[in-house]
This record gives sequence, structure tokens and C-alpha cells, in this order.
Amino acid sequence: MALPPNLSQAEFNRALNEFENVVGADWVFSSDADVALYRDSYSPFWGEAEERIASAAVAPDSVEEVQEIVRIANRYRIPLYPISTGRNLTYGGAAPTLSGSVVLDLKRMNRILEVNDERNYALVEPGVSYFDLYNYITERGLNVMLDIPDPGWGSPMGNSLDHGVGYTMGPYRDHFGSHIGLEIVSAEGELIRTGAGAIPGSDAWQDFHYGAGPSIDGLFAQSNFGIVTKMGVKLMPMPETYMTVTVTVPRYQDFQAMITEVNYLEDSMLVGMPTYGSPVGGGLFDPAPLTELMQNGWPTTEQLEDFVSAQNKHAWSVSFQLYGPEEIVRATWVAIQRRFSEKIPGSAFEEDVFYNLPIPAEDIPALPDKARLGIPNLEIFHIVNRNPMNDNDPPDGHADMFTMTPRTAEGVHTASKVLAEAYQEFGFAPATHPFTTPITFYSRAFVVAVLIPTWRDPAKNAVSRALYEKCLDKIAEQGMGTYRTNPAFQEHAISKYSFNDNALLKYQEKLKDSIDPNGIISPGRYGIWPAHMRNNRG
Amino acid sequence: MLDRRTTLKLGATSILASLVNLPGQSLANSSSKSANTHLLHSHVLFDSQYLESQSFAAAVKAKGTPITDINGNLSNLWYQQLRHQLLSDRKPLLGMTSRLDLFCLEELARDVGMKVHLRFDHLIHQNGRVEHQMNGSSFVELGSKAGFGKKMAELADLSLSHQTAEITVQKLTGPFTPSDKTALVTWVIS
Repeated sequence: MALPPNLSQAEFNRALNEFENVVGADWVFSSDADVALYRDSYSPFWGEAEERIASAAVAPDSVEEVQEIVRIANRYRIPLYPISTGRNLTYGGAAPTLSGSVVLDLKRMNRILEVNDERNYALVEPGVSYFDLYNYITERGLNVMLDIPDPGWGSPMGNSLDHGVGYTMGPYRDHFGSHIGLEIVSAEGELIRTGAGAIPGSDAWQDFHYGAGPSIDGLFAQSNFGIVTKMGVKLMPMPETYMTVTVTVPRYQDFQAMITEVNYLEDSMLVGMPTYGSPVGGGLFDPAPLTELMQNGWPTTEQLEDFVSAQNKHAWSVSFQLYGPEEIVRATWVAIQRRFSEKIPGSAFEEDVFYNLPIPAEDIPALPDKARLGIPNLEIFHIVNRNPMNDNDPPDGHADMFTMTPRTAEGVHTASKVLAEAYQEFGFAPATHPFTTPITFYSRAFVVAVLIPTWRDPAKNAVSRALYEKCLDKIAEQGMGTYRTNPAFQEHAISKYSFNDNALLKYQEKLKDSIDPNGIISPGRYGIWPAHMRNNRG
Repeated sequence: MLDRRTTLKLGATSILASLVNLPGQSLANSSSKSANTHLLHSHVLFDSQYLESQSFAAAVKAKGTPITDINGNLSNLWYQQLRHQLLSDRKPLLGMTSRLDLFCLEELARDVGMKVHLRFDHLIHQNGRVEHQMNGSSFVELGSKAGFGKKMAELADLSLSHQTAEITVQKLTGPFTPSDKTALVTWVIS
């Protein structure tokens, strides 16, 4: 069993006893078998010395218990690693960033404090899962819809605080961006509320985001500056209808014109999540048979146009999710067709599905793509389970890398090209190609995705780690980076945010030293180490 | 039975052999009436999408134990039924399911303080060959043996009365399987 850094077994046992005095012996987990439950199922270091392993886990039931645990941790200088549901697979799951940390498992703090379907928000504790919130809303017939990640077994708080994303309208897909109000236990055990919540007796905590003075909410996402114990979540009013439509454009070189038009539509808030695709290029889990085309390096535009012509299909597609009253949804679709027809000759249009909302309960099981309707599910595992990349030697997990690119065709192609080069340098078939399309998890932003396999086999993991780091290096050469990553790669990813001699990280470290002088909250998360660990980097 | 000492004594192969040797019921015969009652006091899951899981379920049901069909909808089953039941009655959870469903259950079970204590992996090839693996030991091919589902139900009694706390049995695999095989798992979560 790992021990917290610089702590003897005897000291740790005393600390565990103190934790038990706070939460009860049933909620302190220190046996090897219990602590093993907090291993990262997708760890790129599985079974190796570098695998991040907790020393114990503690599960409090209240804010007061969290505060007391923090005070104990400060006395012993025990690093804590807060989790809500701990199922953020590909990004570390329930495992701490620093081995020997005590996982602060907030699953018992699972109260839904309020859901208001007139002002359209929810107020939740950390242990509330998307399934819990969905069931709460459904059972009470509340007129709101969730925006969820996929799979949906995580928590609104945990997902938001790791900059997680969803699938509906722009303001809601950015889960941290659509939070409204936080309650935090500081590293010294103080209780803080942000925004209007800092006014005693305020009833506007989940209405007004900022309040007066600097907003500190951003300090608590992808960071280690405090422990969030309550969070407000903006909710979308349940739309009256939902329609998906698809536009295709014929030529390879129409991609930029398509992007420009999609940007207009989304930035005008006329459409939900655009989903780019390529009828000739396949998708993320169905890479196109482009081996021959790419055997002599990245094809020229002329070669790509010839390829498209030979397939007798359009080069690019984009699907839109439209939400709202039927008359508006249908009018939006008419406008989309007009605009594309004017701007890209040869555009084709298809209406896919139309639903009145909410979907009747008996129709939900058969519904494809539940995430776009805010219905949590675990079906994405089936999709990933059976993709062609896994056929011969299925991995045990994957470490996802999402390259942030400019919202341009050139940005997408550049990222795709250098990522393909990275794969080819390792002797792998490229996961990206000239018809790779961006994902629009965030509105006003593009990411290009690769899913690098992780294994129970150390030798294979060594190759995967090297590939991941090569990808980070190559995209950085293009001025690009990733927005989210597994703890195994966080230092490397953050090292690319090096403007002005790493001024951003230095500023964050100053904050860390002031806010958490004993360095007890998630040391090393996203590269932010407390002063006493900084030189050794944990 | 299937504690570490017994496993080492009997050998994984002999235990696995009982999956296919109908007369080789030394393990099953050693089960007592009290072992049968263990099964009656547990939740048993199966997946009707898989024939062997159906056989497993039928055998369990024949002993008078209620069974629950996941049928590809584990999330609803967990959040609307199982989680609350396990929190209140703390009964062991036993099942034969896909590897994917066990992966999900293992993650979800942490919420109720439960973990995998035993698992048999069964890899079914397209040509009917079946390989079995107990608790992460080497795979053993025991011929083409349809009907192992029924035999696993017979072993289930014993598995509930003796479980290993070895951490090596936990999180043995991720959720993914080769597209040319069916990966089923018989497991105990408690």
C-alpha cells in the first residue's frame, strides 16, 4: 500500500483514526482491496511503479465533515484527492495525481438540493450523478432538459470541474461554462460561496453568475485550489421539438466555406451541436480506407478532389441539432438550406429525425443517440467496443487526446497531418487523415480527437505513452495543445503552455502557495505543485 | 472452496475442468445445503442476449433463486433498482454477463462499497472453441463446451461462500473484446 509522502505508517494510522472519528469507521477505506477500487481502469501505467495509487479513501457525508477532514490533512500534511463519482475514464478516473494521496470520495454527498424549472437551474452536491439528476427531473415531470457527457455515469459537478462537455445547445455543452455558483471548502477548511451566493440570504445565487469583484470560479476547474461542495447548473428548458438535419457539400475544397457557414449559424445560436463528418472519409470509429491514398505522404488537394470524385459521394457533411417550437425549428431549417445553397453550389440537404418532446418513456430504450436529448446512458461503450481499430487486439482502455485547433479547415488539416505523422513514426496506421473532421464539443471551438489505447501490458503501455507524448510535441510545434488529459500526461501537456517563460504556471504556483500552503489538495494536478514538492515534481 | 488456499490445492485446471466434466462434480458435490442457501440470498444477473448466460440463469432459477435480466440496459437496472437494493440488503451480486457489463458493474459497485471477489472469463470463439480463465490465471481451453453456463450455476453456490480478497482479481480487463469472439464473465461482487 502506498503511503502519503514523508509520513510513517504509524503517523498515517493515527491520521486514519482521526478520519474515522469524523466520518465513522465504515467510511474510511485502507485495505489493499478497498483502495484498489480507486485505481484508474484506463491507466497508461497499469501495474507499474509510476501508476498513481491512493493510500486510502475517506467518504464524508457533509460539508462539515469535509472541513474537518481538511483540517486533519493539514496537520499531517496528507494530500487529498477529491472525487465525485470518480468515473472520468481516460482522464484518470478515481486515481489521484500523486501516489499516496488519500482519495476524498464525495459520493455520499449526493443530495439534489433544488431543481427549478421556471428559472431553469439545479443546485447539486458532488455525489449527484447525471442519472440521479435525470431521474429526479423525470419523476417530478419538471420541464427542463440536461446536457450530459457520454457515458452519462459521471456527475454534473465532476464533469464540469474537469472541463467536460456535452451534446446539445452551445451555452450548455460547456459544462463548466454553464455552472452558476459554487460553494467551496478551502485548503484551510473555510467555507466560501461565489457570485450572489456570497450575499447572506441571497435567492439569486443560481441566477447571477458574477456578483461584484473578481470571479474566482475558474480557479476550481482542472485545478487544486479547493474542494467544491455545491454547484449550480444552468438547465435548458425542455424544448417543444427536436429535429436533426444534414447538409453535404460536394468538393474537398468546400470544407472552409462549410465551416464559415456553420460558424455563423452556431455563433448566432440558431443551431445545436454541429456534427461534422465525411461521406468519403468515415468517422472517428470507422476510419476510411485511405491507406493507398496516403502511402506516399499527405495527398495534394488535386489528388483529394480526384479521390472524392471517384467515390461518387460528397466530400463533407454536417448535421445540426435543432431544438425549439416546431415553427421555429422548421423555419431555421429553411434558412439553413437557403444560406448553404447561396454559398456552396451543389449542397445537398436531408432531414433526419423529428420528435415532439419530451420523448415518451416507452420510446426511450430504442432511441439512438440519447445523449443529444439529455438522456444519460452507457451505450457508447458498445460503440467503442466494436470499432475497427480494436478488432484484433482490443485495448483495456484509452487515453484521449483532443487537439484544440482554430475553427478553420487549415487548422483541422494541419492537426490531422501532424498527428498522422506521429502515428506513422511509430509504425501505426494513422488515426487521422485528410478527411478527419473536428468535434464541436465547445461552441466556438474545434478539437481533433485521437484515442490512444491503454493496456494491462506494460510494454504496450510504454509505446502508447510515447505515442501520446509525440502527439503532444508535434501539435505544439504548430502552436496547438490539448485542453484536457490524463494525469500521466498533465505535466507534459502543461509544459506547452509556455508563453513568456511559463508565466501562466508561475502565476498559478503563486496562488497555490498562498491558498494551500501545506499543499494538501491534489498536488500536481495539471502541473501545479506545492512549493515543497515543486523541485522534485512529486 | 475458492479461497486462495483451496484454489492452489485443487489447481485452476481442475476447477475449470469441472466446467466440462459432468461426472467431475467433486466441487459441486462438496457443496452443502448451506452453500445452496447462499445462492438464495443473493442477487443474480444474467443477459438474455447470450445463450450460455440464459443456461446459467435457467439453472439458477431452477434452484428457486430469482434472476434478473440485464438485456442490454444495465444503467436503468442499476440506478432504478440494484443500487438501492444493495445499499439496503447488502446481498452478494452474482452473474454471468458480458465483459462490458462486468466492467461497468465493477465501477458502479464502488458506490455501494462492493467489489469483485471472483471472476471466470469465458472467451467463445466463432468456431465454438471456448477458453476459460479463473481470476486472471492462464486461459485454459477445454474443448468446445456449450453448456458451461449451466455448470457455472452449479459452481455458484460455492463461490458465494468463499471469496478471495485478492486485489489481482479486480479490474482485470477493460470493457472491450475482440470482434471475433464473445467474452462472457461469471463473477461475484460483494
